[in-house]
Amino acid sequence: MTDAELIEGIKCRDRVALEYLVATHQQKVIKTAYYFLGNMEDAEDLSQEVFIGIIDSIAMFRKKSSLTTWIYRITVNQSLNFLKKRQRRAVFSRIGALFNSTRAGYQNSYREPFINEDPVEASELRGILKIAVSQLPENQQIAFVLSQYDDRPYKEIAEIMELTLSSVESLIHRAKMNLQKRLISGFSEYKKQ
Amino acid sequence: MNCKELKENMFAFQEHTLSPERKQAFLIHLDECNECSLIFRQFQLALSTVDADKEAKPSPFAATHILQQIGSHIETRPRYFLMAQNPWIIRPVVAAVSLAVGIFLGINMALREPLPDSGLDPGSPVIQSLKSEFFITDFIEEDKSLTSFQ
Repeated sequence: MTDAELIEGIKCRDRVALEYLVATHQQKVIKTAYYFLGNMEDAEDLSQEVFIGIIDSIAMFRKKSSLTTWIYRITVNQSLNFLKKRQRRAVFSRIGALFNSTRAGYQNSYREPFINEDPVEASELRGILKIAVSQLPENQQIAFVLSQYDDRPYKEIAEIMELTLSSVESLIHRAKMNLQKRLISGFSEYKKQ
Repeated sequence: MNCKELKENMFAFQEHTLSPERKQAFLIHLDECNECSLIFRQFQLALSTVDADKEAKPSPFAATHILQQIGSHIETRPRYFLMAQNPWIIRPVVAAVSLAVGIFLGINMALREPLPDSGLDPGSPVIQSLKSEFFITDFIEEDKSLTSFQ
């Protein structure tokens, strides 16, 4: 099925087209969401919203980029929105925990902490890396995750982010410089524990 | 190479983008500095978890769950929602119709009940010609005729 046929099929809500859309893109959507969220369960839940978003907004797709690039863009946007919501929830939970003098609410609502859950060093360092990545400025975070985790070529990242190739190169360079600093400070916090 | 330089070049070393001389200096400093050696080991270990993340597999039922969710979403959305699938056709039509209705109602309201001090005579030839042009009937007169009929 070509992209044009698929797009028409999605517009008409043709069952075969929708099944084809899910079959061909679900792995990429779930894994990209997973790289941003760090949790497979959340990534799978989010992927359902991503596909519904694709179906609802297919008419907005102007064919300036490939369908795959557009789907990546929606996935990245929804993942970042999900992260923002999760951070807001974490803030409210922290406030609630302060009033209740207990951390139970915080632990139930927000899974930041590979750090405290897993005694294995690699797992803890993974947590430090995930936190450091999530604290990067949004553009740097997107470029870094798509490049390092998702192995997307710079050209495709530029299309997804609607930036020039040199901007993406510069973003990834700055992301790495920032990450080094954040990781070192994360490692020193880890040593203190 | 000092500690600061080493900490700024960890990615470059890891990705083999340092010049041979800088690479040599990096390795010499690692040998000499325990703190940097520990930091770089942790850095490598943290980055190695990226590869482990790449191996993560979604549940085999993920596609089924997505399709179920899509199915129930489509069922709950009314069919007229499909109209919104072509907004660049619908929007100008809706705007034009709204404008026409607005003009028609505006003229209708203005002619039907003139303001007391407006000075307009409802029976004047100008008003009558406008009424006939916009198909406005005089409901008050119709009501009177109905009353008298009863």
